[in-house]
Amino acid sequence: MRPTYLLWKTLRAILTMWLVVTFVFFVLRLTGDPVAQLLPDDVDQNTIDFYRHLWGLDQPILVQYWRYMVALTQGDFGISFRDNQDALQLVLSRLPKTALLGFVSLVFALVFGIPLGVIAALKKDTAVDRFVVGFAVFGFSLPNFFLGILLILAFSLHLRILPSSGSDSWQHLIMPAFTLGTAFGAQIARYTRSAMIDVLNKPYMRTAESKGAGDLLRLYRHALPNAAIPLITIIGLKMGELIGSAVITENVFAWPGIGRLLTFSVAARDLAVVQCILMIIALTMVVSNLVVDILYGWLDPRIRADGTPEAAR
Amino acid sequence: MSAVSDTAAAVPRRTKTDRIRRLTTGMPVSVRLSLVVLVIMALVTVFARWLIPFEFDQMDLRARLAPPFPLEGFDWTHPLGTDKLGRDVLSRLMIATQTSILLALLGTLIGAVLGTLLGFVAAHFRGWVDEAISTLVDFQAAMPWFIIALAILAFMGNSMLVFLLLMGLYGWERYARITRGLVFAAREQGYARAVEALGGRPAVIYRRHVLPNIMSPLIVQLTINFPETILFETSLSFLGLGIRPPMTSLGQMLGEGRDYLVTAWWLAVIPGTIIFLTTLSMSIFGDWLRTRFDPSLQD
Amino acid sequence: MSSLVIEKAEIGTPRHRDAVSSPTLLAAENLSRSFVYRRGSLLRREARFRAVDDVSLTLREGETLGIVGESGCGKSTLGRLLSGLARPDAGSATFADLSLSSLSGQAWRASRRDIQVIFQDTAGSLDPRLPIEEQVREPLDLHAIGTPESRVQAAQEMLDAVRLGRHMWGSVPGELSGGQQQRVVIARALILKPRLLVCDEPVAALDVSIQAQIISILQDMRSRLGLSMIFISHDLGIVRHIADHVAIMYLGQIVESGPSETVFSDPAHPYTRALISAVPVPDPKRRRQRRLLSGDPPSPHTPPPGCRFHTRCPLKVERCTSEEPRLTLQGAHGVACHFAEVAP
Repeated sequence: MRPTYLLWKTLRAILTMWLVVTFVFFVLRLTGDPVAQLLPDDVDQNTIDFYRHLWGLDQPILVQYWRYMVALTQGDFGISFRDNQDALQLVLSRLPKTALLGFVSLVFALVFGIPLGVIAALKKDTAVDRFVVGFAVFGFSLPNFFLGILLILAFSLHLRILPSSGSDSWQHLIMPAFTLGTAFGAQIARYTRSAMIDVLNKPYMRTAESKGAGDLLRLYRHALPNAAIPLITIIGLKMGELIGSAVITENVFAWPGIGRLLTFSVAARDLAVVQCILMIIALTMVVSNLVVDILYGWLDPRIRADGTPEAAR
Repeated sequence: MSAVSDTAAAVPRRTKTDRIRRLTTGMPVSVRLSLVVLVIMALVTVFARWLIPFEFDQMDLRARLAPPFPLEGFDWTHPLGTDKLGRDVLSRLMIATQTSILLALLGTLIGAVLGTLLGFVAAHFRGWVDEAISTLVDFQAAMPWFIIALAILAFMGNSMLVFLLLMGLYGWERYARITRGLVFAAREQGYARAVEALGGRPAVIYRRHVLPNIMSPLIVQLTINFPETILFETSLSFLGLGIRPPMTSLGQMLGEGRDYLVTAWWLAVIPGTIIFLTTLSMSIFGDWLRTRFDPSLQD
Repeated sequence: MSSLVIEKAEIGTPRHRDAVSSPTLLAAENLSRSFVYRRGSLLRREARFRAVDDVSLTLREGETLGIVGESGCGKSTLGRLLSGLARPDAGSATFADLSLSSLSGQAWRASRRDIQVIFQDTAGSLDPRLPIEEQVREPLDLHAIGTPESRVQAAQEMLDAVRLGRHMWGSVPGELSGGQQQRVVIARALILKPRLLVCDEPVAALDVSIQAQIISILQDMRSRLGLSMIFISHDLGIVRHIADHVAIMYLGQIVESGPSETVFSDPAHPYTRALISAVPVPDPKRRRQRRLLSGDPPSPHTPPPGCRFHTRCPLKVERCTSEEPRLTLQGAHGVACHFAEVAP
């Protein structure tokens, strides 16, 4: 892998982050004065002016932008309008909950998605395969907010064996993780299947077969490592979807993570917190894309310096 | 030899019905069922205004939270029951379906047209125009668009236009990517160059020759994008940010019904099922189209 | 020199006639075109090679010029330059009174009415989705010639003229054989009634039996429409059969040119002789001494110094490796070889 490739990708990632920050900054400020919407209707003009000045909202927008960007480079994400807490601290305090949910869901999705995909590919065009494909389409089409509600109806209200909201024990984690993991696992099963079918049709697999390598050996030594390349790419690129789904899932199950904080903060027009959350989410996506790019460039030497595979040119 | 094939290749002119018949042969049952669901959805979308038994926002406070058909205590005046304000669920469901489908359709089309157009522009002008559009495509793909849309909607308030725009911008980059690649390839193909050599303008070549020839993958992308757009709309409306009362959509109904899970679970389950059936049918149909039209998947 | 007397040429006899009077239709002067084969960067100079190097030729009204050479010798590029599809880096091509290299936009598109091209890749040059009748009609649509009804009629007449049966008019290209597709391409090119038709290896991809059929259709159309033609091919037999004049190309340059009869019966350049002797002759009594070329042509990226042919030439002497021979004319016959006069 060429160093220029790495450099180029990193620059692009930073550029993307900057674009997201800037875009969010201006769009959210175009929508009106947060102070007037935050304070009660009957406060006098002096109070409004006081807060506008306190939060720097009385400055021209470009000055605000400049100050904001300077503050960002010093790790200052601003102060929550609602409770005067440091925005970053507030967001970081919720981060572990979301990370826990995301991690457990991802593991769950991988643990059932990959084996299902592999089995379907090995038994292509049989009933097993059709079942897996059907399940994948099913899981992908089932909106997670609906799945979450069905789970609550069944396990919390009807059977009364699982709690419907909160995050106090491991039981609280089961339904949100299942909800979030199902759609993602369904997609992983599907991509694993097509990646495996692709690999199994490659000439080197037939060579391995003709050399008399056993089924399991062929699977572990040749097929899985090669199928992993497209799979890692897909997982990395789907991070954004996973985060979007997490926001909804957290709301369905009142899981006190970043997603729930986000919906609260947008409702309260808490600019600093919303911007901070958006940036952290964008950062997660950009970093996972960057990791995919780097892994891809490392696993597949046929990448040019500008990052496009030869075949795409 | 060509005299032989002249007579042998007596190909009849094909008609529309022939094409439809060729398309439907060998169609699996699941795909047929999906088509039935989609046709019903389309009919409801078009004729909702005439099909509804009640106005969708007509309240009847004496008949609140009435249960739907198979449950005890239901009443044929409200086959699917009523909600917290005594509004007819069936009527609301039809109007909600209409809103959701129309929005998703418009959103998908905006994205498709925008993306396809930019893809053509990138492939035609190449050079820095191509670079700029490709960079934009990369940025769009790397942005957490759903989350950004959520924030924008919350701050912008109840604006249908903004909502539609956000939906339109969701997924446009994939059409742009596909179109750009395909147009590049098509331009290298003889037929585009041959028409150029006949004296055709680029616009004519693109409209008459290139676009029809790259239509299949674009339509496949449309079928993938459409259920995603439905989920985009319903998710945001579910969170109370997209379509808001007094209007209604499938996601909005589900979000509202969620507060009555204990007393009237059907208020959430009925719209949820409709969303699920629509996205499922579209996905099944799209998958089938893809395996039919993508030669790389046929072996 | 030849002129066009409209007359159906008999298959198998060269159409070479004497007539000095017909005007020049196309004149190329010192055409050159080079291509980049390795991109430059900060550390590396960009590398180019000359696909066509300083070529001059003329085509008279009604004449057919054959351009012959091995693959990679630049004959297709020359064809594109002569038809105005590509622009030269140096030199000029003048068609009638138009300078092809300076036309742009509207004027260039208008010039397509007079100059048409047939490519080797027939299947690729037809839209896979449109019925052939529509594709043959398309040039008339593009140039807005006639009424919609007259266009349909003209397209049908053209399809008849290339002997494609009515039952095939609604077919898409994929349903036709290679020969049938090529006839569609010919019909589409000729419906504009161009003055010049450039054929780039029009039959190379076809079976021999079909080649003859396509050639006969081309000859037929040539006499019907009074076409001038440039016929690019690696097949000497076909060129001899259809062309009044030939130009032999080697590594981007013309090494010999003249009336077909002269060039084929009395080749002066050792390369031409080698090419001709390689053509199988069906008559055992006329068995000739075969002079087969040794080796492959050198890479056009780095042409040898002096005479470009010297690496494979049986007559090579010291002078050939340093001094480049110029194309010298004896009457209409031109040869670029130091030994042209003394060659047997």
